[in-house]
Amino acid sequence: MLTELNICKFLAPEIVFGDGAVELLGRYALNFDAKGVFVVTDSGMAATGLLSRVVQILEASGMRAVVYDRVSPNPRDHEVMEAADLFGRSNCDIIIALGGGSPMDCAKGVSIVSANDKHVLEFEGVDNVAIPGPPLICVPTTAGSSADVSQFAIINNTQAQVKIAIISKAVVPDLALIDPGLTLTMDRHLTLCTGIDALVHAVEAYVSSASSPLTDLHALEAVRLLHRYLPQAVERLDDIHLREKVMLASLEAGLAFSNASLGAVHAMAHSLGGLLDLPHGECNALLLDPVIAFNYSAASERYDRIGAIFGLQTAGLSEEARRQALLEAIRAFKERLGLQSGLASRGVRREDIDLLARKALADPCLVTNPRRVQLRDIEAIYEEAF
Amino acid sequence: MTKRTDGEDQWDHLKDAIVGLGERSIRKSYYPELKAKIRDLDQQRSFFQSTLNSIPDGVVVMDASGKIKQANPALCRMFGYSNEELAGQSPEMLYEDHCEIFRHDDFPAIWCRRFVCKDGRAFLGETMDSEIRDEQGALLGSLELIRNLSERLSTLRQQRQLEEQLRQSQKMAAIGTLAGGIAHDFNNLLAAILGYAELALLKLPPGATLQRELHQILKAGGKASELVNQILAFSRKETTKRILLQPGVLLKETIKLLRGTIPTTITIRERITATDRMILANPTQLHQVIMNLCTNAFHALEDQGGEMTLSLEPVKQKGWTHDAEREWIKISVADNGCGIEASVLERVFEPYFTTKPSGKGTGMGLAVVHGIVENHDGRIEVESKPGQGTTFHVYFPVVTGVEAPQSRRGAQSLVGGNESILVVDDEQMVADYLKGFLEQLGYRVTVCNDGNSALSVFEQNPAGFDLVITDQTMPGKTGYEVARTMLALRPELPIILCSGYSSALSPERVTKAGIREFMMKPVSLHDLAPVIRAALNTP
Repeated sequence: MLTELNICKFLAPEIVFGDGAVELLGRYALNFDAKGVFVVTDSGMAATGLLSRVVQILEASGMRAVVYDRVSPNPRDHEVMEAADLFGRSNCDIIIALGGGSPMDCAKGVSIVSANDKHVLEFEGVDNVAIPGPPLICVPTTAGSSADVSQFAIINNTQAQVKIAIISKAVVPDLALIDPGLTLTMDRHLTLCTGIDALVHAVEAYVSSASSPLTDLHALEAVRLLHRYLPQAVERLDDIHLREKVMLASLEAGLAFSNASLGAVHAMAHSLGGLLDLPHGECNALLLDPVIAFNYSAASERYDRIGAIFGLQTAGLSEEARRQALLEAIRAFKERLGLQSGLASRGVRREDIDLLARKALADPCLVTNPRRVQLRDIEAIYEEAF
Repeated sequence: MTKRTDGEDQWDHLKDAIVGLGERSIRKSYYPELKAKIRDLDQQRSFFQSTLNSIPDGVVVMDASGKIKQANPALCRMFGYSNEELAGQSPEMLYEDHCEIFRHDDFPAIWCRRFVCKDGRAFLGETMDSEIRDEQGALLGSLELIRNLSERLSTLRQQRQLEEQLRQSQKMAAIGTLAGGIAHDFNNLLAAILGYAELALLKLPPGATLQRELHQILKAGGKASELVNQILAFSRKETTKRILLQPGVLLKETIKLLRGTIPTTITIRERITATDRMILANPTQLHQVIMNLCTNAFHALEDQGGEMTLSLEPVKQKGWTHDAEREWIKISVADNGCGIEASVLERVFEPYFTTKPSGKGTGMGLAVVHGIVENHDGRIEVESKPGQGTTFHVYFPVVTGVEAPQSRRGAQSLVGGNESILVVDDEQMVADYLKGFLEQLGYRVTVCNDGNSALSVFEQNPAGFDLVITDQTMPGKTGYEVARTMLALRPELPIILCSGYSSALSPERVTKAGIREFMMKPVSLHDLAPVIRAALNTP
């Protein structure tokens, strides 16, 4: 296996980062010789006025904009197909995703559906996209999903009530136009959820069995930035400087996990989100410490380095002591941010665990979990998180 | 080393794939697909272009507004325009005077149009047009396919001319056969007339008053005989024999003949330069050349009257095919009549070309003249001005280093003998006068009226005859067959074969069969007597 031979690969889109970067959207769209631009977004973006700003920028550059704004949180398969159908009839050349992870994942679906003429669920799994889609520009308005740089698209299979993961180089956007100023519209809860999502991305990528020096660099820096700035950011929502730091952390976490992939937290969170339509960040936060407890022994050194960033002095301690110390630090961090534990409080029933575990076991994110996972392990972790 | 399970292998594979090192991991860019599409488009364009270019007929493609979008190479060659010159123009520029499509008489099944090339040349072309529409039926443009019909048209006309020519020559052949048949019978009658006239002359005592009248009969008969020979010559199409002759003499004789036939409103002038230069020619054909030219001159002068000038002079100039200068005899026939239009002038030598009303001219006269002159290595020229007259010049090459032949022998005394001669002729009249004539000369004569009786007489006593004179055309056995049978018995027997009309018998064939002499009827007794004597004297 090439990864076992320490051969690594790093794939990233072209990235434009900085406050006010969104103003360059017109120029970059023109670089693709676009005449018509298909904008995928959600109703929230229309409400904040960001959508009209983006449309204005595009029209000022002489382009026609066609908008699909019916993407829901945890984007659904039928929304992707509906948007792809509209795109097919819109005579547009490129696709722009505006919003959080949901519009971006939906836009990725639209792109590959239109190029391959297949149902979006048929791309489930790794490398199941034959032909890359038309150019895709992602303009994130949250700092956490990192869909703007990742090779992941998570779509809700409404029939099976599960989120499916599409992992393919074809869904890496052509351009990530990252403007931290756009995240100023996020409220405290959303800022927190997306920030925690970014932290889990960084942690899982760092301990991933597919991690490499290239991904480690980004993963550790993301953990460092989030540990330092996220607690401040959720308290001072209007501080553009803090927003910029968190956004940068999210970007680095994204670069890391897009190339090193994730682990059990995400596999189980996808299962949870698919069943209960819970916010993705929240699911991650709930499952993070039980999964670390399970994984620790398989990647103790790496977990210790994360612990060090969280301020732990672990020299001379036994492995079990180090594990406990890390778990406590994580839980303390969550508490400090005001995140409550317990699946039960989110409406999960014990009888759901069997189904949740089986769905999680099928998630490709599990492949790179540092410790091999069996069904009963997942069930045990869900129990732990109750 | 721990043993790996299949499940672990599978996970490792998946891990590779996620990182982007999997077997099915694809690139991010869709450029290869784009490139394939572009290549496909290029191929389609090239295929379309090559298809258009390889159409052998001219094709011009118009856009929806009717302006020329492009033309194929065949059309550019046909019209002499480049694609750039045509692009954006109306296809009207290819039509002669906004010519609409029409049905041409020669091509009733197709649509035609008159087209005009860049250099102004116009031509008749077949045209087909078609609208170009997309799958939804929207009009994208139109195309016109043009095929030049000029060649087909000229082939068609040539074919018609050939058919006409064939019809004419079949007609001529029929006339020839008919004339030949009549001439043969006429010849036999002439033979009798001439024979008896000569016989009567022989029987008359010297100084008798009837002598002049009989000479006139012989003279007229001789002319009739010549005429018949001409008809025979025409019907046989035989290759004519050429002799050395002084054309001046022949020209003078022709003028004498013309003076008798042409009305007095036309003055005939002759300007014959005395020369001893000779040409190699067939007198009959030369006569025909001059007569035809004079007939044309006569027709030009017929209505208003005028002057016809026949001249002859030796000239020195370069040949038409050889660069070296040489001597020619130039015979000119000029008239000051109506003249010939320039457009007509260039076609006067074409067979069956005539401006004369139907029945008056065949259109063959000048064609025959042209043919004869060319055959004689000569050359014919014409100059004409409408309203002022026409002159034809005919050039014959002078033959050098040959002496003029001795003038015809004078009245020779008839030589006779006492040998035994068998005369075979189905015409009793001819046989009788031959018998009378030969007996007058002292010969012993036996007459038979057909081949079979002649053979039986001969076979009874083959050695009893010293010479045989036989006619060729007879019921039953021909003279030729009779001669061959006799020669089988007596190879050295001198036989004189006389024939008035025979297309099958050539002098060569006759000589080859061992027949001593071959004479054309009617046979003059003056000619016959020395031939008999010579045949008898030669062993």
